[in-house]
Amino acid sequence: MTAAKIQNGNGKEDKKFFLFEKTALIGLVSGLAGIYTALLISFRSASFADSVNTPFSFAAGIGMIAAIVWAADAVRKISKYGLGTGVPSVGMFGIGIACVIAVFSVFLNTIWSPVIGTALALIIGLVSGKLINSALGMNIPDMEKRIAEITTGCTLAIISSVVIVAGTVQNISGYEYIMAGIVALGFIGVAVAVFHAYNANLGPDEMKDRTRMLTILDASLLLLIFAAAALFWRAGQNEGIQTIIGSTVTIFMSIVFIFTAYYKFWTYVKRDAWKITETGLLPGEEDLN
Amino acid sequence: MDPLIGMGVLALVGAVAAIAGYTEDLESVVGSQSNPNSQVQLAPQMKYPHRLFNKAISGEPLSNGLAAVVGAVISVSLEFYADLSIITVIVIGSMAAMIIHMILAATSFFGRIASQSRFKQPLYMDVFKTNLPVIAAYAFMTTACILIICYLMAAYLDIQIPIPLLALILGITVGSIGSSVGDIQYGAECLYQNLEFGSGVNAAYSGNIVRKAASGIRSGIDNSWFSSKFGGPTTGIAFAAVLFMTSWITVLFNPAWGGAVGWCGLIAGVLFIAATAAANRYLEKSARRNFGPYRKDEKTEGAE
Amino acid sequence: MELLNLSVLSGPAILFPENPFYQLLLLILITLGGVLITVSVHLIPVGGAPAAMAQATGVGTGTTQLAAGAGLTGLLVAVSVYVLSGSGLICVLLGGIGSTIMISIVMLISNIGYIYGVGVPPASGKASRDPITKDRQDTYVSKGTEGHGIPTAAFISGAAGGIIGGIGGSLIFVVLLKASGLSGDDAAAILPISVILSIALFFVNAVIASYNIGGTIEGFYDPKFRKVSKAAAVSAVITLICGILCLYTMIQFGGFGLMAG
Repeated sequence: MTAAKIQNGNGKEDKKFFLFEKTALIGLVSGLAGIYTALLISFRSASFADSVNTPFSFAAGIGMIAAIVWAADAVRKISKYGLGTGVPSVGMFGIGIACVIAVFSVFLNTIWSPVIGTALALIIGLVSGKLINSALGMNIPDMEKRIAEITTGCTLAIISSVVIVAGTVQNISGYEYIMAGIVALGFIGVAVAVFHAYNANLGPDEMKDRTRMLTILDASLLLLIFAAAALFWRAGQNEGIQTIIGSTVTIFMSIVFIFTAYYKFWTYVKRDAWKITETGLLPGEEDLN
Repeated sequence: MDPLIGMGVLALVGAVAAIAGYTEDLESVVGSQSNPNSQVQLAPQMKYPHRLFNKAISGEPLSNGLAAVVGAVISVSLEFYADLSIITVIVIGSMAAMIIHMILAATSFFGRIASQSRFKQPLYMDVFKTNLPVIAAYAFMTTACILIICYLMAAYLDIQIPIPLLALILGITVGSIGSSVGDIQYGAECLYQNLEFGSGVNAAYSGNIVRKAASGIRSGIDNSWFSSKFGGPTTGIAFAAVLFMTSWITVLFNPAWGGAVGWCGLIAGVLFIAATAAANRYLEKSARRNFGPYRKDEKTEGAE
Repeated sequence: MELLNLSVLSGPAILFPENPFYQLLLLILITLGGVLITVSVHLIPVGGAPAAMAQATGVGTGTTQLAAGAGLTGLLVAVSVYVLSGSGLICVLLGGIGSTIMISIVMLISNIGYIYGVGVPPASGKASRDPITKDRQDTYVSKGTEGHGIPTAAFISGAAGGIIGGIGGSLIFVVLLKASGLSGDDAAAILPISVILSIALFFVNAVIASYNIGGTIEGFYDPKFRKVSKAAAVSAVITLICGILCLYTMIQFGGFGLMAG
């Protein structure tokens, strides 16, 4: 019992399947729900091929933020053990696999693309995490679960970004998303949003709520860029009012999120920092002892 | 394409790349990003609190890749939207990338310092206010240069990659060069000027970084002044050389003229690599001859 | 030989798309590309954060990052060669050369930084004599460090790593492009998808290798290099799984590109 507690790092969670932990459940459910809420409007016509661009892309934006928070939480859990190569590497591994899976599932061209992508990401993440952990002798507890979470979160985030930018998850939207090069932002932007928060808060006094607030800030910044790109791109192509409404709402929503998250992050910094001073000399000997 | 125009574009790409490498390295030095960050991070723990800007967005390749991609995505989508000149969209894109980079840098600074509160490292707001504009300016320059290179390559060198994807590749490359070449002088010399020249940093001194400047207490700006004399220019040379030498193969020995020309390019590339290996060997020998060994014992010979 | 675009030669039947095993061959080639990338990261001398303080031999940056920088430079060259010539073989080889040029320049100028900026001669901490030049190494290692700079053996190892990694990355790129079933200008029009998938696979394999070596390695003479087979096996499995997805995507994308273009 004690061994199991130590191995999981947290006694409360040792009985649950990792997808039923609170963060994982929230990330998975709201990620998928966000994407499908955004897609609902495009399924009102009879066949999938006739679906139109969604005006509800902000729902996919919320899903993207939830998915990124989930993946960033997994990065935080895995990086505590010390990977030997820095925090970003695990994010880049996750995003590499996630990019392949997301592009694949978008080109399946069905309504179920996000679900298939999630399932594939979970399976491939578990398999590759298990392989790395056992074959390369990393011996990090629960590495396969954490890698599966990172991979799935990144996959959901990339698929949401396709919905935000291109309106649907048809293969035509995937084609435009890639040919315009916005996939590059989906690749590196999601990766940085996933690992930046923990990397930026690294240290002995790292606090969970502060890291999470920074993740929300990073994800909202990314959402703002996606929405701005979608607005310019769609408006330039005269694609109808619904996409412009969607992008505009997403832009305003992400700006609100950015300011809120920044304000909360700053209050957490004020709470946690030893001393915030406008200017001053270095602390003297008596302060340090 | 006319080879002469190709060479001209290549020269321009090389010149812009030199600026991009230079500003990229100085940007990372002001914020103590990348590998020397480990020392800045360690210093408060060793009871050496400092007034340096501790900015750990990520490794340089990824943060520069992100900045370049953000700039490129905004520029390209603006081009879709309105008929603006390329210079205008590059400037607007670089501004967007700069703002994102500033927010990431600021939150990294706050986060890292707040996570060291048990070592009593204060959060100096004047350091933040004086160093952040410098970081922003260098980030703007780097992104703008990368975007200029992207647009030049896409227009003249016939690379059919969309500009954001090209920006991702070039951003990661410039970051990777900046973190390998430029940081050596910053990490091994600038942070450890209190140790004698001509030796690696003894692991026992880790964290004992220099905290005094020529006048006053050292901040990131003093470090960038130091690195602008050697680390920055070498990074610029390296990035320009990489872009020039790799594009040169395809411009001078254009494989479109026939298979044999492509093979000539291959041979030229191999010759260039052999030349760098020879230059490296010469450097190694001359350094050993001029500096001499650190100790003279013969006992360790064969012990391995 | 459709795959290599060497129309002069008539190769075995498997090299033609009509053959039922053609897709299998493509999958094997993708896996080979992934394994080559993993092996290449083991060859490139990287000292991680200590090397930036002249405390360890190798280039002073992270494994993944240097390999990615080199590999992406090679990919850029491979793409431009492919667009210009349409030949698979020369594209893969020049991709390797481009990657090596990047890594050689980085190592040479790093050494200039170590010698003139820091004032230390290149020396290896893992071998008492350089395996290639037979120079003494241990007496040139300054006190309290594990070597610094890039000695000749590490330089040669890094150049070899560059060429292998560049070939691996370009191989994945070319094979994915061929899998779309398009050729010539049609293929050039859809190459962004192939580029982003090869970048993704490059990062995956580079991270696998860097986990295996724990972040630092000096080159082929480093004892850690003996672990290369494990990483190669892991990389083969993961690249194979991802390769199936990539192949499917490319086939779909090829049909789509033909329709759109």
